[in-house]
Amino acid sequence: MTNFQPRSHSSNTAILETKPIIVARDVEKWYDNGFHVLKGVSSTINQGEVVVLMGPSGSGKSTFIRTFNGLEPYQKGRIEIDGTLIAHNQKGIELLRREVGMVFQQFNLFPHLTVLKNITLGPTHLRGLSKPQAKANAMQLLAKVGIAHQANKYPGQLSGGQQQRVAIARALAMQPKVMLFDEPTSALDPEMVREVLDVMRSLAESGMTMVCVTHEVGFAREVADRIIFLADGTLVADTTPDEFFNNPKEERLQKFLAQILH
Amino acid sequence: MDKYKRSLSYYFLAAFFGLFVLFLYGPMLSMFLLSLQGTKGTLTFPMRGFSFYWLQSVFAEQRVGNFVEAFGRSFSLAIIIALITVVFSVLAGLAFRKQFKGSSAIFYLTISSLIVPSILVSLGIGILFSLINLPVQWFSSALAGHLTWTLPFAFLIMLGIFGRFNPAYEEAARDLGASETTTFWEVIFPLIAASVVGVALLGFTLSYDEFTRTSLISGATNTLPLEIFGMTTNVTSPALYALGTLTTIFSFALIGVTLFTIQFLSRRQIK
Ligand SMILES: Nc1ncnc2c1ncn2[C@@H]1O[C@H](COP(=O)(O)OP(=O)(O)OP(=O)(O)O)[C@@H](O)[C@H]1O
Ligand SMILES: [Mg+2]
Repeated sequence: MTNFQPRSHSSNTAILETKPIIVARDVEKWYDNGFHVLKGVSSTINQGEVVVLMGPSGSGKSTFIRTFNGLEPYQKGRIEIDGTLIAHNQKGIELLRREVGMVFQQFNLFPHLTVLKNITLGPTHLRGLSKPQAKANAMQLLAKVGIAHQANKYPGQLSGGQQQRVAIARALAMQPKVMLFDEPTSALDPEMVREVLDVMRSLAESGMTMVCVTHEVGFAREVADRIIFLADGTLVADTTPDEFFNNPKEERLQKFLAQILH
Repeated sequence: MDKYKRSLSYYFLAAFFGLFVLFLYGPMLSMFLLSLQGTKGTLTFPMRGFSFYWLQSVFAEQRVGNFVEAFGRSFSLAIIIALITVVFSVLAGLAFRKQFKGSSAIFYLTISSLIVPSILVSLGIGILFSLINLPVQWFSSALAGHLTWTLPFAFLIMLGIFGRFNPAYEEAARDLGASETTTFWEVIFPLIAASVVGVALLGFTLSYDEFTRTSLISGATNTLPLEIFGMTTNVTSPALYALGTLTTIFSFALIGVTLFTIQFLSRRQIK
């Protein structure tokens, strides 16, 4: 249904150029109420990789990926995006955030702007693109996610699946180096999950580096290069989808799989 | 549907509402009618003819005090108050979205001015101004008096507005790399704009018809409510009602414009 640029290199081949793009080392975070939500999580995500993040509810998945673009501050350890340290209250954090696109569970489209404006707002204000240029790019992206004909509608007039595809287009319009997805299909009616997953799948095929929190087993099996399993703020497993589903070693993971796969 | 029987409480509440409307608009309507008295008319019914004589007399020089100038002062004051109120209540609302050190102390300090009797606020400001040797004026001391009234109200309302505001929109803006300033002007402000207009109207109205807090500190000149009050003691013609009618029409027109603006600002947020 959708086509992004063809992948320049396949992540399945051994000759993958392994340039690390997200490096998280011993990340620890406490919430203001003292809750120790991340207890030293380390992971490296390479360019072009598609990583799925799984774990029980409350294990810290959202918190973890939100530290990648500075939406959540962390207290210990370090996180680098393409070689640049992400730190709390840091000057120029906005510049870093432009490199990291995020898609939220609740879409978070700006309700006072049309679909087209939602997408062009960032590029015109923050990337310095001219309006016609930004508009042309936006229309291209909308065509790719399959909703070019809805460009002048307001988010409230679209279905959940359509809104989420607009949200993906909005994040892509900033030409990020990495895309983060936090349960992008959890708020959708079942019949709309497919259309969003299809967009994510072709995005993965185009070579985008992606970190996805999702409970979609099919997507994780077929699209992910790696699956990271978080439980109680600790990284329990980091392995291939095949190992993850067919040969889980950790007891915590086995329990989790028993629950979600029934 | 026809068989549906209304309960007793329905009739009770309907009667109550009817009385409410009667007492709210009844006096206004009589004032309206009386301001259209004929030239020989008096302050009470019956109507003796019909004319616009009294309405015109309001604008006649010095006939019934100086209405036009008093209106000008009250109007300017209310506009200034509305602007100051909006700016500071929005800023305060933004600040109070986060818990900060001393936030509850500041909250109560701000709100307490609503509890202090208005006349004491007026008296206090008067004393303060004489202490620092400044003359009381409608645009200085009365301005201060009105702010003690409008700011706490607007502040409380902004807390409510921001309490309902979904921070997810800001997060989205921030993720796109917007600075705090851009996020405010492109996302937060457009989303609260309709409410901000409401707060502006509130500030305007509270100031425009303020009496007690202004009474001791408006200086040599009167604001409109003070002027009207002065007239009730020495004007004995329907010109008094004419004045009331004109200010009421003005208030309704203002509400109309505001509602239209709010409608316009929120028309797009179909949700
Ligand atoms: N602002 C906060 N203050 C305190 N605790 C919080 C806060 N936000 C989240 N938590 C707690 O931190 C833990 C991890 O939250 P997080 O949202 O990262 O989990 P998650 O793995 O994404 O869960 P889910 O699958 O339900 O989305 C939860 O126990 C949650 O209650
Ligand atoms: Mg979550």
